[in-house]
Amino acid sequence: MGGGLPPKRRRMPYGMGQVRTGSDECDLTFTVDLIGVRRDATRGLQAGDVLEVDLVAGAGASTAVCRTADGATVGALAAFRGLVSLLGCLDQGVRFEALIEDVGATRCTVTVTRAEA
Amino acid sequence: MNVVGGTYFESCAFPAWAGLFGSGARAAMAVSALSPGTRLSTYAYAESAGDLRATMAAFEVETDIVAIGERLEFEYWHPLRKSWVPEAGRRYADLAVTGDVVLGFGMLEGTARLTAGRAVYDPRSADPASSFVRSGSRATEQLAYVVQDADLVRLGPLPDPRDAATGVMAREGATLVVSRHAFGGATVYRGDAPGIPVPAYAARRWFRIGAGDVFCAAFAHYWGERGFDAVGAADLASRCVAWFNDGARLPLPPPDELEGMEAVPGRPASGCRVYLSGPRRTMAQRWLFDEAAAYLDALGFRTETAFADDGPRSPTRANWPPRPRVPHSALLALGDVADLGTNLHVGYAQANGMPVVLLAETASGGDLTMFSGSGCEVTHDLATALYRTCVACLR
Repeated sequence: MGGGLPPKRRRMPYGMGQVRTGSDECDLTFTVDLIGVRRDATRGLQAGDVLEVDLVAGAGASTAVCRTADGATVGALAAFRGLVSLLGCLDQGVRFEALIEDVGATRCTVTVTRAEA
Repeated sequence: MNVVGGTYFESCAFPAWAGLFGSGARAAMAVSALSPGTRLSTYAYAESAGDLRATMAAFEVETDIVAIGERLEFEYWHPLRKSWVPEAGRRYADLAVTGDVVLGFGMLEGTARLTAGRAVYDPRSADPASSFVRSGSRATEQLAYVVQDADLVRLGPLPDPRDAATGVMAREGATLVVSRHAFGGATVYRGDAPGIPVPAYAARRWFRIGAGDVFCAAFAHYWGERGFDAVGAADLASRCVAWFNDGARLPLPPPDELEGMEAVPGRPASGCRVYLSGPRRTMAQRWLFDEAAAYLDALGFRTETAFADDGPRSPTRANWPPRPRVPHSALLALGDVADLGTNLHVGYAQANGMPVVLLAETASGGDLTMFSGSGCEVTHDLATALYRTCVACLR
């Protein structure tokens, strides 16, 4: 038998970094690392904790951030496919929450889903 | 700063990570806090252009995006092994960028054509088509050419890095060449003078995907915008890489947050010895063992298996660990806590004063307490385990 198997896309890790849509356009689920994680805000956080997702208006642009219950910003939601959809839904007043999958001083991985009404 | 470079979707299996980055987007985000008003010029897959624009806006980076039809993605098994690299397909019109300071990267989709006072250029490959001069680019003041070690010697006919750097300077009109080392750190070449080494700095983890982009971004800021001398700028860039590697952190912090980092001694890796221990009963175990050995070899470290390949797994028979302790040696334990023979080696090494780095991919909590409590360094992904073992050896 000659030759090896042809290269094949593995698409990994499954679902990370891109948004999955459910029953409607704001039924979004995705898992990402937060950008610009603030070390002081991650103290005391652990896997399983839930963060609030807020829309912050900036100079000419809006940013989605994750905050603790105390209002401390942990990091930004950015650099993933579907960010525009998330921003649009937040702008419509749809609420989202971020479940911490893994957290350390310098990294925080969250799964974001629409919050139950 | 003006940054021109590609934007790609990148993902990694171990550790699990994914994001919309690529050299251009990552570098622009890296310097966004250090260099307000940064502008990114890039190609991007049409369906991701809005996401990229929103991402950059969050960090106050302005964007010029040329939307393309190809969805270009890079995949990694782990930060040292790419499992999928997209092929260069259709070539789009050049991205022409003009500015006082411009950072440019070679791209799959087209050519960066820079017109700058000070330019920093990383061709991202040894392909002659990625040449700064051939792209029609020019730097009216100075050009710094940043390349990986391996690419530097491929760029010219001469195998000696110093000769190769001199050749690049002559051919490309570069003022200086910065050669980035795979392990971290760099060598700065100016004229035909001997290269000046810049140390790597130790990080707790070795994420590494995009570390070269971060190096270039920081170097372009400190050398191009802030006017630091090339060695000082490269030193700060090396510190930024260590900062980034610890969790893929962006944007980069100001220099005062980079103080107090541990410089990794620059002794030749060939003088170091890594002992590998781990089960090799299954194909998966054997693959991991061989993968670790291959990358340690590639980094220039001498590796030995703690047990002989055949015969009973007896430390006594294997005459291990060596006494007295071999200087600059360390044990990398791949048993994930669960393998009796590997754990035995860990104990022998600890008793012999040899540093131990443990790869624990599945073990957690109480299973690791005895190991971390007895001085083993516990890591959770292969790239970090290899890196921390190398750091332990070099100390």
